[in-house]
Amino acid sequence: MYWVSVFTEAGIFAILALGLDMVWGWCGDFDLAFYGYLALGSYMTMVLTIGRPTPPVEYIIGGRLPYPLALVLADVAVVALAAVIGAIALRNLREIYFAVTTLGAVSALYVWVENYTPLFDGYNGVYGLINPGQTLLRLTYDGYRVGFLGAVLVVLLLAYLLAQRLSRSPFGRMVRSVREPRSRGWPAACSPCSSARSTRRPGRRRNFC
Amino acid sequence: MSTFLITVGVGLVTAAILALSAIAFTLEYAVSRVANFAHGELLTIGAYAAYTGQNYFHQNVAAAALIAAAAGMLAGLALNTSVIEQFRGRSPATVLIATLGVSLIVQNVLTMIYGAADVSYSFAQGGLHHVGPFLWTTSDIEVILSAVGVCGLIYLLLQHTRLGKAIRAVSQDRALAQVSGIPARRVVMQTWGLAGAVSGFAGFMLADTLGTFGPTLGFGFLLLTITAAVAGGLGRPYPTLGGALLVGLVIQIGGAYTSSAYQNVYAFLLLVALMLLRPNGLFVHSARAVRA
Repeated sequence: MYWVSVFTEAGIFAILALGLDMVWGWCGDFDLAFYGYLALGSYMTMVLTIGRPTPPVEYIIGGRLPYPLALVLADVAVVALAAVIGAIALRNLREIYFAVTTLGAVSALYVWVENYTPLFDGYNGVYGLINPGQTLLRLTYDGYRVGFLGAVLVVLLLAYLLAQRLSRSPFGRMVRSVREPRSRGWPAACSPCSSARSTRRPGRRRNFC
Repeated sequence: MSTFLITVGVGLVTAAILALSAIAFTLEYAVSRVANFAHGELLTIGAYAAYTGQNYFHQNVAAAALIAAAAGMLAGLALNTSVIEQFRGRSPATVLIATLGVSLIVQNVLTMIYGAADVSYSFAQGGLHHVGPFLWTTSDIEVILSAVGVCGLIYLLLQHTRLGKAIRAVSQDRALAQVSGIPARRVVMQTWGLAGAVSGFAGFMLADTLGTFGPTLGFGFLLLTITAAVAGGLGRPYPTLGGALLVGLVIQIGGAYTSSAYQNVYAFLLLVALMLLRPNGLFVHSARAVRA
């Protein structure tokens, strides 16, 4: 059982590393706010599933959504946060200026979450996570842990395949061209951050990096 | 109105400490072209060295300050030799990660030695004085005067000594300085020693002003330091003083009217505004785009 928890943690870190690789490895921008996204994702999943807070504990939303829906919504919230930070940090800021801005963003968030209790109950944090394996699937505790490891590995595999596919796609090539000095990569990809007009596949207009 | 002026007084004390920290950061950047994320730990090491040393010198503030500066200098030299010079020529992100790693290691080693709980000095803060419109303790006045003194010494060093000239030359172009017969490696080393000493001293003053401090003392101060250095334009020591003044006043005044816990948020907002509007610093005439 000890090794199950170790591998679960390793799998989660591997998924995180894949995500960081897209921002840092492909685009060349080192996003120090990355761990803030992890934090927001866990907070949002919690407050969307555990129900109304009982005073003096306080936090936002307090929903009782089904677990998978909560995961999706939490992800949407994180994407929104990343978009806001990106909108600031990607305005012509590269290398250490980018790193410093994202560091500033994440420490400002940290301070805000810690001190503004109506958000996520400040220092005390939110607790009482509903365990989807034991409530929905009626697994034993150990069975749930093994099942969770399996789920983590499946997600990791999917994330890896998606990253591979994305990396080979025209979009991935365009993103990687951003890493090169602007003069070299940018005429070909033609300002990938503001629009993706000149990539081969029309209709792909997602701003990624 | 008087609340406002007292806040400005507190802001000036913060700005004085910040000025030393930011000048050290900017000197490091100037000669090595790295954003040293372990800079905060130079302050923390200085503060803890003074904490260890205070008992041996009978609560002598001057002795404690000297110990802090000496420890900071040693830490700066060690950091340059073991990490910065080893990673020279690598991409800025690589060096940045390396210094971030050093920062975490130092924080955890200090936690091992001193424990995670906050500690405090046993120096007297002295009585309150009305200086013009401001209200300062004796130690506040000492902080401001010594910061002004240290800044003056750095100015004299940079402008009127051979070492200062060499530092300025290396910060403009290390290779060119090297071929002109300047021992660049040694000059970089000396600059890191100087920056470390200034940081250690700043860390001591910061810890003394705050009252209590822990292993994350310097890391919490890093964002403010970087904001001040960016406000001055990275790598330019004199405008950094103006940047420190701006940051010190903004966070204290903002904190006084909301909550002092939000100082980092104000620093971040200021940093974002600076990055978007004046990325090369406040005191330059033409706003060119930031290069990598």
